[in-house]
Amino acid sequence: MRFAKKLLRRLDGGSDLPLAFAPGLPRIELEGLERVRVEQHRGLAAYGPELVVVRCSGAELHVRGSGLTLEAMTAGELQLRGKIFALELVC
Amino acid sequence: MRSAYWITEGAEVRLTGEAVPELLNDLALADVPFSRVRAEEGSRFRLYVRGDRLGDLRELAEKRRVETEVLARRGLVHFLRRFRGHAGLLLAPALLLAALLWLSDTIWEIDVVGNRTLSRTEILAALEELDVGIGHNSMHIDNELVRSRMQEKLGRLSYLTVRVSGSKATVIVRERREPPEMVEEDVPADVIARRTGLVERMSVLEGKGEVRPGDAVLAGEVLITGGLTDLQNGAREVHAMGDIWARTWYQAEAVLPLEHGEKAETGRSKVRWAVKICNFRINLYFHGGISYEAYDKIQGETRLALLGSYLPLSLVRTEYREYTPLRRSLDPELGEAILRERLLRWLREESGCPEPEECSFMAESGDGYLRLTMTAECLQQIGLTQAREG
Repeated sequence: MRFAKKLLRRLDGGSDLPLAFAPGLPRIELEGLERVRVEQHRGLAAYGPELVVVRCSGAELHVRGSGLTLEAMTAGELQLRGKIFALELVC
Repeated sequence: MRSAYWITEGAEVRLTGEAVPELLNDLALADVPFSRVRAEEGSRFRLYVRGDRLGDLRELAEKRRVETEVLARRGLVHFLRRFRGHAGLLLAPALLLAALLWLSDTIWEIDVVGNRTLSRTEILAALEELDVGIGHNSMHIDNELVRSRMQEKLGRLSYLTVRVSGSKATVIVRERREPPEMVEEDVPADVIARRTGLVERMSVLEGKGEVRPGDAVLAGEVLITGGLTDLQNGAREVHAMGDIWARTWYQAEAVLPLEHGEKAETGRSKVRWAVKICNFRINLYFHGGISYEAYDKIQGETRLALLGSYLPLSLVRTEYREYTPLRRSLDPELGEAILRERLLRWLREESGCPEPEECSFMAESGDGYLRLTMTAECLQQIGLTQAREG
């Protein structure tokens, strides 16, 4: 599985295949400055009204803001809402 | 998801513990739907979870040493569960809802417009036989069918339609107008005798007179003909016109019984009340029997209205007035006067003789009746224009 993912990443880097098709890689969508959707996450590392840390494959997504709320969460996808000040990918 | 909780069942839960983020991960992995996770003070959080998965949440929370506290339960399923064992409490609102739905399709007020000689009672009674009326469903009125059936029942109708607006029905009626019998002046016609009589005088304006003053004529006989013949023009037809005055005679009889029943009220009465809901009557009394031997029953119904609209509710008042039946003999003079008036009215209205020249009456009694015979002589116009045949 790991080899397959590495192979896919190489192919992505060298081809025109869109990243969205790559399995296991997170997809982060920011709607305006109030909503963030994360697909293919690995769970929450921390949760608070001003900081939410989402584990992704190979990195952590730090979402900073105020009044942050976890609107919904499933095994594959989560959605945050609130005043978003910053998104940071920490590898 | 929030709207789903409203319909099914949801719970608002408070979580307290350090491992809440890990618990949320566990819930996501276990496919336990939750939403609206909000942080409160310290390590407390609130979320919404589906009611039927509350057990799973508690189990996972216990593993993570997170305390759970159910703050509120919401949703229609939860609301209905409260009535478990008290289904009767739900019955009233359910019945009310059903009643509201039914009432909106039912006629509770009916109005008749456009009638002249046909009475409202007549029209409504005929409609009631066709299931159109108060308390009947307004959705299934077939106007074409109602119109044709009503024209069969009430021959004087030329048009009828039922318009329904909410619970009010308006019956629009047009009656047939019988045109007066008129013969156009360019149509060949004769003047005939409307009734039998003795010609007193005549004036012929057009046509040829077939009778002369002093002639006795029978009803239907031609008095002035429109068919003319002369040497110059040959045979031709005209619209005959003229006045024919003749003496006519009438004989008629009217009858009254010599003894008649009379009611002498005793002054005693009883009143009974009832309520009508739609067409169902509920008596507000227990013993319906009336102990009077003879009584008159007077009934009145009052429809209740609210803000100008009639409700399907009415109050019925029935009064029973006791009387003693008496037999009275007819005063002969009074009886004769009544019969005389009746006969003269008939002469004026039915025979077209407003003022008889001579009038005599003969009264006789027998077999329990008073008979009055009238013989009258009139001088009246008897000519009637009739189109010539052919």
